[in-house]
Amino acid sequence: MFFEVKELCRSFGALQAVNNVSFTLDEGTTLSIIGPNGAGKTTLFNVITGVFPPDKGEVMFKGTHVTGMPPDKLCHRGIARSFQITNIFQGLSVFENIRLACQGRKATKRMFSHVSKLKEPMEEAERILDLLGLLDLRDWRAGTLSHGDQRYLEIGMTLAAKPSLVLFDEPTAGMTPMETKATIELIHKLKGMVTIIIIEHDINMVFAVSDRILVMDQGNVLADGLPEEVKANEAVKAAYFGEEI
Amino acid sequence: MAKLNSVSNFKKTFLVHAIILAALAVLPLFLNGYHQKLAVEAIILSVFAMSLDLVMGYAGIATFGHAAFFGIGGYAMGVMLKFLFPSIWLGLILAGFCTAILAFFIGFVSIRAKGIYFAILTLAFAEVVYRIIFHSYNTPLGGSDGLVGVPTPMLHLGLVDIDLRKTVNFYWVAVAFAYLSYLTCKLIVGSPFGSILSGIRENENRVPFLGFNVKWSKVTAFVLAGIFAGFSGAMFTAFKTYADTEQLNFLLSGKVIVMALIGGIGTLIGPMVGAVVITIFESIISTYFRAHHLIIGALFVIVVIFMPKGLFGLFARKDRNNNGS
Repeated sequence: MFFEVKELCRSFGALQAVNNVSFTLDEGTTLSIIGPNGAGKTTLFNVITGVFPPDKGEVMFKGTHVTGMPPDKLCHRGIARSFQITNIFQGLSVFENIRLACQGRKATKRMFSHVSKLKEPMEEAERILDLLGLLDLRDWRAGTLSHGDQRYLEIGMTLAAKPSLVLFDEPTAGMTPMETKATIELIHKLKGMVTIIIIEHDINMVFAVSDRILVMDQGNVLADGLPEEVKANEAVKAAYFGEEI
Repeated sequence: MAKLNSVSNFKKTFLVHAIILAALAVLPLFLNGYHQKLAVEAIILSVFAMSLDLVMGYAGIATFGHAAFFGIGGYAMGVMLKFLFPSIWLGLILAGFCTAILAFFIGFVSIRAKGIYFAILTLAFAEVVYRIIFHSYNTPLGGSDGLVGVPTPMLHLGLVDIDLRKTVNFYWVAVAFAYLSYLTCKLIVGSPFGSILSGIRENENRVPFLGFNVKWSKVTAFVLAGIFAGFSGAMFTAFKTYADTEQLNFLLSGKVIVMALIGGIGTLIGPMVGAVVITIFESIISTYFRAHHLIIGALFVIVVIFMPKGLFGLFARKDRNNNGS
């Protein structure tokens, strides 16, 4: 199995944020995790990516245990994530943000070369900026970009690690409809190249990009299946949507 | 086109460096003995301030105990020259080794704490080092009297021997030392490691998700800064012919922060300029006012409020405004 989460639990005091969550994922598929605010989606990401250790449960990636592994080691294994709240290097240029992210993939033997002489990260950063449509803004300070462009940059930094599994936490949060549309197109481009887990509130986007949908509510998995199955699930309708999807 | 620009930038940088070095080389010919000595002190302290910039300006780690490394470097040089072997080179090696070990220990133990908590821990460790040396009366270090009577040996440079007892010779050696230190630090901050430090300064929490180990990067930066502070302390002792506890004192840790901030952190050259400005300014005003620290304190407050990027930042801003952006 490419990626597997087994009976993952994490609580904060009396709050059971993630409760016995299990799912598996085949390589190349896109899984969306949806659920109301406070369902435990981001906590699940945090436990998977080593921000918090789980109270119980296991995370397996390509057949090996990665449970509680620190983020830098996970990144080297091929797991990268983006954040719900934009998490970039505001004072660095757009290009420096991406180049630094490209640089982290593997340790360089040229530690004392000037960073601009590192051919691979420099070229890769150019390629990613082109993919995101940010090439014209390469020398801008990241903090001066519009919210939407900062969100793209966040996505770009996540992809720069050349991961085989990407976890996107609400990539379209705060984006305009046009920007959301462009993000859907971007995720379509990525589909098949990488395995994607995406937390998203925009239902149109969820149905546009997902091969499978996992619904969470109060830390538990409420439903897990194909988009049509989830759409038809009465419990999901009641707990999450409250109305016809 | 990019290549042409880079060649032209290299030529420009080379020319600027050559002019500054030439100006510094001829400067002592216009100075009297007292001012030559002052210039040597300022240049050595400029390396100390620059070393602080590695951690504070580039990695964004505030430290209140940087004098511990300057002092230990100074004592290491003193011990080498007075008791072991009369060689500046070996003194520098011993200073680098001792400060690296001390910085690694302090850094490793304290690095879990962030921000002001880390700074206070470094202050506490520096104070421990200060107290240990201060009370070491029955050791060759001399306790609060300091390690006095450190001989000044010849500096062997291949076929040439330089007599460092002549202030002007020490001045030229100090300029070379500061320039080489600057080039090395420039290499560090421009390297892949330097860009990790910039990432840590900007957003420490994001860095691990890009595949970097933040803890080891911070400890490495702290050790490198400690080594350069140790080198400058060693040169200071070789020049002054003594090492005393004032070189370890928290007042010096505070003073080097003032130097770096007044000059402009995150630029390497800014703290060097800050150190030279403060050393000269202090020397001038202390002739007229007994409470000269009061004036330097006021200057510090003015700079922090009106020039948060320091003197060097002011020039950079002017330059940017001239470019119309």
